[in-house]
Amino acid sequence: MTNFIEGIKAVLKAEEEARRIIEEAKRQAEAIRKDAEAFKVDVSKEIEEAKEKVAREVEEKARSEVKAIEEDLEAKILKLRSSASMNMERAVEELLKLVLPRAEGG
Amino acid sequence: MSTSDPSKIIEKILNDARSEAERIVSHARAEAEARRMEARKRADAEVEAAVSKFRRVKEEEARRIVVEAKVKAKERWLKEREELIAQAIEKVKEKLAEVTKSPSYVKVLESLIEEAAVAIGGGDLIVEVNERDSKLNLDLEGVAKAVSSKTGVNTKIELSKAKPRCMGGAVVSSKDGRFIYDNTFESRLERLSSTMRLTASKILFARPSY
Repeated sequence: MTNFIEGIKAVLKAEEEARRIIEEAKRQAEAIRKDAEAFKVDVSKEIEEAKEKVAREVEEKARSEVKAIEEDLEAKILKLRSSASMNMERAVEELLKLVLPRAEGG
Repeated sequence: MSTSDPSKIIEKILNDARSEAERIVSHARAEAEARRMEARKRADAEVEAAVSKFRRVKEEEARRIVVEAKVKAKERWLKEREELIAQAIEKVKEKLAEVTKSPSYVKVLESLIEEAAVAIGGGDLIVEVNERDSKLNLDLEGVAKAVSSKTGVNTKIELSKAKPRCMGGAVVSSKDGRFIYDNTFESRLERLSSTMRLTASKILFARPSY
């Protein structure tokens, strides 16, 4: 009889523990839900950051294209000067022929 | 399960409670995750909409910058060409100044006078040369003969007392003043400017082009 009563007490205690476990789980679930509700994306900040990133990328690309144009220009100017330097004497002679009625210049 | 073994009953009660607790928490987690994902998705869409417009504006700005750089480059390249052509023409002027000091210049000047006289069509003509050239021993009679021969018009050429300020060459006019032909070097350079620039460009820049 004593064992039976002890057994009943233990079962009741276990049921109490089970209720506590479930209550604890419900509290945890509520905390998780509240946490999720509190989850907010700072859209303004993300937009600002994304814009900064886009601006950096686009500006970098433009800078690189402008640099390439300038380098290309410098190379072409060097070629232009080199070609003019090589051909200057001949050009002057030909121009002189145009200005003078006969090629008697020089 | 035997009611005489409470430990098994207790174990089952606790196991069931744990399982239920796990189900409750898992369900809450899944709901929370879905809520977060939804919020993330909405935010991403909002960010994308704002940024895509911004990107278009920035890309347009960048295109303008690149186009401006190309235009500037083209202008600088053309300016460089212009300067080199101008250098060549400047050298031609220096050479012309040398020509005026050379012995062959008399023949050059006579040719210039002849060319102008023929262009006028011969006749009674007056020729103006600068102070220095007026002291040269010009064969104006010989020139007049050549002009007569070329135009079929009897031609006489007199040296004017007027002395134009010029590098060289001559201004020839009909005696009645109806026709004037400016064949000074300055005038020739001016008349031939386009041709000279084109010729200089062809010769100087035989290699690269923009």
